[in-house]
Amino acid sequence: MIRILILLFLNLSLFSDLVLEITESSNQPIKIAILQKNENSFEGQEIINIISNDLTRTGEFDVLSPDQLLSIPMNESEVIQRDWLLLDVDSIIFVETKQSEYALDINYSIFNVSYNETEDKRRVLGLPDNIRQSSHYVSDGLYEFFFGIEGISSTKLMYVAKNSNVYRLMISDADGFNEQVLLKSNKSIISPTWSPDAEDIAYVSFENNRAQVFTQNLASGKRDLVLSSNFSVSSPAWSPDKKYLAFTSTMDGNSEIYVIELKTKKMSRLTENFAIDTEPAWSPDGKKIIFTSDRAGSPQIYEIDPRTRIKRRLTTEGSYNARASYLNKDEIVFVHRNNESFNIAKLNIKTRDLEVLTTTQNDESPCIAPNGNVIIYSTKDGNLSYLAGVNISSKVKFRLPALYGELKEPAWSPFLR
Amino acid sequence: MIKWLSALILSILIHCLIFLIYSFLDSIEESEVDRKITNVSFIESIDIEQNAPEVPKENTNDEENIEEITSPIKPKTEIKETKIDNLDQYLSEEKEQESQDEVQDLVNKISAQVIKDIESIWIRPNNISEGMYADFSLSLDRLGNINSFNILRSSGSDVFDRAAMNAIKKYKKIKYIKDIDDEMYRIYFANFTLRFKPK
Repeated sequence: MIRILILLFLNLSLFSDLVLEITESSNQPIKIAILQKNENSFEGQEIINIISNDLTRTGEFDVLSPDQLLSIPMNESEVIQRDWLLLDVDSIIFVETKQSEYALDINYSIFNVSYNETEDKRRVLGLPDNIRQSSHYVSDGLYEFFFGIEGISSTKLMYVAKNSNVYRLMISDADGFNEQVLLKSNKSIISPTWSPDAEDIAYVSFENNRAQVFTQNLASGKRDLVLSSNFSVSSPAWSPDKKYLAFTSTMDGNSEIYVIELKTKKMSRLTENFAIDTEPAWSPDGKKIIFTSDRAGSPQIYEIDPRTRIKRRLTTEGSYNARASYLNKDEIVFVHRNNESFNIAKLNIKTRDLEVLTTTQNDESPCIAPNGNVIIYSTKDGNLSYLAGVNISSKVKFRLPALYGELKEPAWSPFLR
Repeated sequence: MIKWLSALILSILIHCLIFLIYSFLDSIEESEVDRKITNVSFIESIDIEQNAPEVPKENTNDEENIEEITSPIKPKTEIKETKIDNLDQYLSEEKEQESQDEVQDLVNKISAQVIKDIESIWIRPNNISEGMYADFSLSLDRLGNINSFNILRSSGSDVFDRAAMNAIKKYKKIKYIKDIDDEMYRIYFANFTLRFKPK
């Protein structure tokens, strides 16, 4: 017994358990190559181009072009590991397209260069006339594989395009392609927003010479006026359960926040003071609403519990903070005046950490992607508005191409399942 | 009956003894786990800590020692005898302590470099929740090649674990290991734990 104890003691004294703790991570993007598998085709190359653009736009991937490669294998068995290690490539994505008259299926595999083996194989089933959307699904699958959260390439954007004095409410893919016009008007259209299930939208139209909130079903095109009133009604925001719509109205004298139950049209007023209260946005759990108010002399962000009406001020830094939305339960994103420029900023409500995310001069209307990792906003180049985005993780910014003059008021769709 | 009773008492005594020894060892181990030097933590050998000599901090100064010896308060002869014996002992203990400090310094330097290297490789995923971490056990050969690694504690997310494993796999070899002596390699780096715990 004593011998065993001595041995045990000696053993413990001879070896130390060293624990090295890794807390910081690299800012480098994941280096990948995307190659066609088994045979080259025009469609296959088009798919690869779409995926490459999707992933490059995130700033979290470095997609090598064919002229950077040392060898081009046609499948996993042809990979010469040394070539890829020399290029410091993390993974090779093999994409195989199977097209028939009625279907276009994309099989893709993720080949890990360090392990020299295939880590995962996936498939996207699609239609021949929907090659862009199928490719976006591949991009989202790859993003999810590497970063653990859903990608947003297959989601949609809604925005207002202004050309001369014609306003168009537009919808497009997240990369700006495949634009469609939802509404055309010679009066202003503002504040478009998606319902949580992406089946309906709401927006403010001035077609009757005053601000009115309309809802519109995307499948049928059916429009409904939310509230018949002679007063201004604006800034619609759907509750996460789609039962309520929060909005701003001047029906009681000055701008206040209201909530309407869409089924019963029962309305309740949330704010009551002489200041301007506007731009409501729901928390992810639907229990809180944030809004902009100048009750303290300058526009600041406040939070209210719709049931108890208890309010609290969230922003204290800076003389202008407006148009806020929740990034998650602890963080909000809003327009913040930073010296003389208006930028998009992020505030942690608990820690009070404020981070300015953009560097352009006149940024406005921030909207968060459904994965919570990208913010789209409108900004100006001279007098022309355009849409730009910033990836929160990589801090990489991108700009959306504009076909119709000015673009503003972006709204990112929920995930389309 | 007496035999049975004495066997029972003996058995209880042995179990109590085992329990006391185990508790004693465990308490020492726990107290050591908290020791952290930057990002490096050691669960150190018990006898190194326990038998660590209590060397006076500034005993290298001979003049101070002489002053102590010649102090009129204490008997001269006694002090002188003690002093000579202690000086040798102190010098050897100090040398031992210095050597241990050098070892610790080198281990810290290598550990910090390994952490820096892996942090430059690891691309963390975006689905990190508060307090998420994963532990991996690494086995190195004498040249520093990562011969094998396995997951000790999963983060609960496949993507997080995979990203960490990719970083280890990509690191392949800790080049600083070949330059250290066999004992340091055996005690600290032959097997160690890598914890991925984003801030």
